[in-house]
Amino acid sequence: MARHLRALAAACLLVVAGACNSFLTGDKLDSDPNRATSAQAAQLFVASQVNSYYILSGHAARVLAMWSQQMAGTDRQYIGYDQYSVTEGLFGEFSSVYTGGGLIDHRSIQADALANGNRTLVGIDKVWEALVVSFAADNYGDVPYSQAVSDSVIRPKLDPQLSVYAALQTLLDGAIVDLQANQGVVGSLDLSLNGNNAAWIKVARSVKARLYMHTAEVSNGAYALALAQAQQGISAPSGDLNSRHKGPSGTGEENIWWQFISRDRDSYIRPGKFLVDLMVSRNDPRLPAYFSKNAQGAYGGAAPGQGLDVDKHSNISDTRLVPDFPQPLVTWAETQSIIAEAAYRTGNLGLARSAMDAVRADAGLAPVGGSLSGTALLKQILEEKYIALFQSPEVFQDYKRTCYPNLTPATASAAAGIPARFTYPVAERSANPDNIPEVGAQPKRNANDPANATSVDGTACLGQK
Amino acid sequence: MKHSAQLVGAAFALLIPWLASAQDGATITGRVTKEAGAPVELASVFLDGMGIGVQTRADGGYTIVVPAARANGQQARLSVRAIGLRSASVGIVLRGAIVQNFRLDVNPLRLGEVVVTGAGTQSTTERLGVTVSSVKADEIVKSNETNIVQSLAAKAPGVVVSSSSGEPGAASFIQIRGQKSIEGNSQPLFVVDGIPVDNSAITTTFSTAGTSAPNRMMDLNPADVESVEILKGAAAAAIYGARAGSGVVLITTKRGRPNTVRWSARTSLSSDEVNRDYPLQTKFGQGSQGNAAVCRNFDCRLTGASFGPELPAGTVKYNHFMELFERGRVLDNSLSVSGGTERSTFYVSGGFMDNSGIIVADNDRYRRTTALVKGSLDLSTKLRVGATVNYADSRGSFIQKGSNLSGLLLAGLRTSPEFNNVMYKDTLTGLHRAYRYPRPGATSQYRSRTYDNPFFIINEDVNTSVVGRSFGNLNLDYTPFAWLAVKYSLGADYSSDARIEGLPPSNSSEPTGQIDRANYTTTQFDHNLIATVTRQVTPWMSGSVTAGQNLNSRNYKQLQVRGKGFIAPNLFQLSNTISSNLLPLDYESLVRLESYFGEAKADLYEQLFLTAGVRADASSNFGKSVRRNYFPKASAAWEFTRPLGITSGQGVLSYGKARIGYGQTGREPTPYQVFSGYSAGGFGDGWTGGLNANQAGNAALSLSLTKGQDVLKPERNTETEFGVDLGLFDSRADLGVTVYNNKSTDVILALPLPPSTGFTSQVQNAAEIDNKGVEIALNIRPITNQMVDWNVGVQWSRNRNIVTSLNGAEQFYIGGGFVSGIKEGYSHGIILDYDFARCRKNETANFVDDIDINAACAAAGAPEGAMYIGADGFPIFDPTQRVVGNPQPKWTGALSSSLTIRKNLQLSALVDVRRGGDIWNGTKGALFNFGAHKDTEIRGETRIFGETWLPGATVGPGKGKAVALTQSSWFTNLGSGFVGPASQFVEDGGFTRLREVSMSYNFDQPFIQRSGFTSMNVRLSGRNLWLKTKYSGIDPETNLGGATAARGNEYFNNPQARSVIVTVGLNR
Repeated sequence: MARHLRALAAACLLVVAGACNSFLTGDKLDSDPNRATSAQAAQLFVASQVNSYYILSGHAARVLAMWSQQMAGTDRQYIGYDQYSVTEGLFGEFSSVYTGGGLIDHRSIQADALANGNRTLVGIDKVWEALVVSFAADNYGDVPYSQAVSDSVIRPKLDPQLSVYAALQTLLDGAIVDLQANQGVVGSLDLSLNGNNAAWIKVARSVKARLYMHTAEVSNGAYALALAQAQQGISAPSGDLNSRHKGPSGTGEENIWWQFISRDRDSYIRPGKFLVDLMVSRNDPRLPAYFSKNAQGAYGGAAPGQGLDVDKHSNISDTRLVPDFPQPLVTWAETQSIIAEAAYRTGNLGLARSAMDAVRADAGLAPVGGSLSGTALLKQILEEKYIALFQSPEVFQDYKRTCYPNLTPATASAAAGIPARFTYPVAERSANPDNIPEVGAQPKRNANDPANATSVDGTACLGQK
Repeated sequence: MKHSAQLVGAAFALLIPWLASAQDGATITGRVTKEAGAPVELASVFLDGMGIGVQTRADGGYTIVVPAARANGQQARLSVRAIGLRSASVGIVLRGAIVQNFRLDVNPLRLGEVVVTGAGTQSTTERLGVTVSSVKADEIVKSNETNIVQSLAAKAPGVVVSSSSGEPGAASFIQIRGQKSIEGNSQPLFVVDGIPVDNSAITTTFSTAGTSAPNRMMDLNPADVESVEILKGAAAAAIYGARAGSGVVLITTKRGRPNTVRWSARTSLSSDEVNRDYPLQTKFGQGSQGNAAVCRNFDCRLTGASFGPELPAGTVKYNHFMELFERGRVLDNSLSVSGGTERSTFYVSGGFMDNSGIIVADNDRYRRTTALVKGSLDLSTKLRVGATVNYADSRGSFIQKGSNLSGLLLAGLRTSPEFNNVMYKDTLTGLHRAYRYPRPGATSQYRSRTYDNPFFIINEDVNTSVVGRSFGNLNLDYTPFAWLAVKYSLGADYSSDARIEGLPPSNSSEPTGQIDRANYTTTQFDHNLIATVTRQVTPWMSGSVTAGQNLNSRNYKQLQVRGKGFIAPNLFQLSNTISSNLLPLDYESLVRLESYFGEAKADLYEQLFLTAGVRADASSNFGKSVRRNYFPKASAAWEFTRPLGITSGQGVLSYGKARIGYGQTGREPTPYQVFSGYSAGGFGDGWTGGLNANQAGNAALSLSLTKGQDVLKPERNTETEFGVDLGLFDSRADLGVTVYNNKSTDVILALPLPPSTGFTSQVQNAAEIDNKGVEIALNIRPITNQMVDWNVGVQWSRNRNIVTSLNGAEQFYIGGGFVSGIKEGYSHGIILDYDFARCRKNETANFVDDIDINAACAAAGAPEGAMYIGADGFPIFDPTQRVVGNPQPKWTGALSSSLTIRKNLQLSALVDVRRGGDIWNGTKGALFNFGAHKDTEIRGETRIFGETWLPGATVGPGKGKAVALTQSSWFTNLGSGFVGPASQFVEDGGFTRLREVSMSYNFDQPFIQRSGFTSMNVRLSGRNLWLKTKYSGIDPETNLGGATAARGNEYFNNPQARSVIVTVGLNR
């Protein structure tokens, strides 16, 4: 108050125009007192991991889980999403890939860490960058990358999807080199793996294998490349890359699926009938770990388009639906499954069987590989992966590639079958109209994903057109 | 006898002045009357230039005593001025007893009346080349509104006022001549007694959820207001430069008059009730697909839908809307004493208003205690000092609303008809029970109920605001010479608002309990110095020149902390939460403005009045390289009837003035928009509470989504207006017509950037908006005689608003609503969402689900806009976002009438019409999804799209096909507000309402006067008693986000009230 009065009093004496400049400058006038003007790599890195958790296990992951019929929408908008009622306003994840906490901050983190000789941080951050950018390429196809987050480009062009995958392979190769240099400490800033270089190198290999698998439909030799990387990838479940969370409610660190189902949007989503029935038919020992029983004491999934019925529908289990549950992002089970499939595709049936049985053994299931070959073996490999990767967006990427399980679309009126990509968000389309086509002119499928006429078992593919 | 002796004496004195002794002074008496001899009360009678004056009594009489020292037989000019009447003056000789009666002509155009024109300047009505709408004290009192902003509703053409709901303390939104900004404040600057004051409406948490927030002008007691002048266009408001982009509302509070003492007391009691029921179905019970939802065990969670079986006869059913409401009341008392001596005046008033709203129980409440102290003292004949202090203590208690799991109507209206909400505590455990969680177990204290029970919301939540507000000024009027006047004012405005928004454990938003404690402090200082030189240059030309300086400083501080996880269940303290869960949300801003302004006026031949001026503003909010900005103005008024020889106010055309004005005003950028930076915050996908950026004890920052900007100028409005003011039929009617054309350029826009650039927006002077409009005001006095005085007023206005350029941005949403957006070529705030596939000839790629819709339309010869019906008989969803409605009204109008019979009985009414203006009925869309809306009662029946459902032209293979509308096929599918396009829930929000009606009687008979009062006024009035609208939801005068520019959003907003009010006033 006194300061105001003094300023006014001083100004009062200066009735002559132009002589009052000091009135308009000073503390709280020359800068924003509410925001930091600079940030350290460590601070940006913490935030970018949280942002990545949301991209990889938030809304988009839930929708993809519904489209792969592991989950079903049982209330309001989610009933619509389950039945492919998607709009260009639906996913904010696209923005998150690029904006604060995303690519623009990854660039700062890597530059700052490199300048400070912390190559471990550079390497870890490159893997995160590869994970979020590949999420965009997986689901949107062609995406801005080479011109993204550049100060000089106002409307970044779309890079072809396959070139984005290729760039990410190079990025991951660089990450591995950085991590192998073993310079600098990250420690507990790395929320998921506590700055463990060796573990991150394996994660980087597993991600490389995953991305080769994504291009396998259109790129010769991809399976062999995937196999080679996967064999150097995550070698035990203890090396899984998971999100890190903490309870109880209110900490702001809780598991996102828990937030959605248990706290914020109960009734919107339940386990899908297809997955629950499949596991019941297998008498799968993971049932209690995955699902709770319905009000009638049995396991039941929701079919698309139904409202919630507690008498019939199970929820996700109390094991997984807790605030501190670490959500799997890149896992040993996925890596083993890639080994199994890639070995099968490249003719190494022995390795295919053993890798698949290793996944089964981890779930408490007896080996079956010895008795299988040909299509039956491939189906078994894919079925094991479908179940083992419960809730992972990767399940849907496999479905697009293999049409297995051969899902029946959730709604008969889905003329175009199960959607094979997300529509570009309206925020990007309307501000970048030179590069992003109108909704009606966007491709139905991405470059890596031609429609499968048949499922891997030779029957007509029901959901891909 | 005594009387006639005085008269004789007076006449004698006038005839032979030299006989009277100079030592006696002078006594002037007389009576002021108007047409038909009716007395004029409260007219000012004064001696020009001597600072001596009085007001007339109820009988029109007055007495002025001039002390001997100042009455020495000189010539003087005695003038009289009264509102609505023409001023008159006469030369007299100041000696002895003088009798001077006046008979004043009606003055419908208020010619000669002083009008304040801002920043210390004033003018008289006939000299104005611009439109200034005046609202007088009696119109404000008659409105029975406790919010001064709301009392301006339907009072002036081109001024649109909407309350956001009928709750006590709900904000009112005011907009003049259309929306001119995209992000900036779209409401006018409020100036009270020359000092800019705060009218912000700060919401504690979310504007679309949480609770409603008062606009801060509510801290002014309407009973203290003498007049309101509304500077509508840029030509009028340019004197306030960069703060006047949305117009200026100048409020003058009451003051004392010399040589009198008056007092008045007023009490009013209002009885309020909700003004519309809501259509809910009561046929089907809770459940899904026709199966009842059954709770088998403790802590069961049931479906929220009412798609269960038909309820058997005899089931008790509840009206889940009306059960939430009761009779509310407003008690409004005020007392004022005013008066003065020859050299000093004073005005002291106190007010107390207590509004208990229409929601059951007493937690929707607003109490305001106000005081106003004002005084002036003539230190000499050349120097007057004055001071004013307003104080208000406002205490509000609110109910959670809107898109909110703890929102009143969201929870209430979705409840299945057979569930008894009133018993909100379980009889066994005493814990919160709700229709989706009917059997709370003993350990469910910290669990979500999915939706709260509305009675839990009403009774258990704590949402309060305690405001201390003080504003006022110190002013000096110095007139060293007859030709020079200097005015100085130093004003201050301070408010402190202590808020609590608390949700106890078991609420569904944060089941462990959540409390926001906040303190908002606003401080404003204003220094305004002006000097005016007035000269009669030649006999036919006079003029004045004004120069001024204004310095303004505004500081806003927010200290807000959120705590989660209550330790004791019902203690609303931060210290009662788990301390590691405290989240601070503090913010501060400082803005300084330094301005100079000048204005010159010339009066030519007493008929042509010219004004020109400029204001130069420099603000700390402007970018450094564009710090000073100039806002010019010019206007001319020509009384064209004067050269025609019409000066008497008689004839078919009794007065005529043509006027033209041009001006520029601006709007400051909001603070710190020019800087980019890093913030902590968090991440989320909008469906969950989200994750903090800080994790596991590690500090985190991420780059803000908005890119910084070095060059940012104020927004600029350039407006031309012209019009005429006519007196007609011997001044029995008057007509004012104004046409304006406003172009807003450099409109500040968070110009969307492609997120792939790393930013979602950058603030730029990017957009252009046009507002063009017509305003007409017509007043007719068909009968004016001593028996009956009848007035009829009509006003009409139209504003066409178009966003003409977004500088490349195609479309985007604006804050404050769910579906409000901006798109080039459309009005501001259009409803932006999705539609069904339709014939759209102008769209090149009208493909939906791979179907070429336009080809199908062309083949069938279907009309534009025909809805495409798929082979299954249902319409199909078009996933392209587009404009599906426009909330701006086509036109607004008002019809008012007042009839005074025998001076004492007055009947009046005000009808308010708003034509057009779409509202997104989000409530209906949601209630379709839950099977709670009345229209879902037809579930299972067959309908034909385009004929018996969503009528309109159709095309496509399923055209004319009858389909069953079931829960799955329609109501939770494309017919749901959550799944289907919003276009089907956009409705016409136009209305006609009886905003005010009143009957009053003024007792001034001798028996009243014998009891010590001059008069007693008794009034019976109604507010909002009748409403006609096509809108199917709550009252269409509603807005989810409160006082924001995002209009036409309705989503479980709290409803409006209608009132009957009795008022008794005593005067002396």
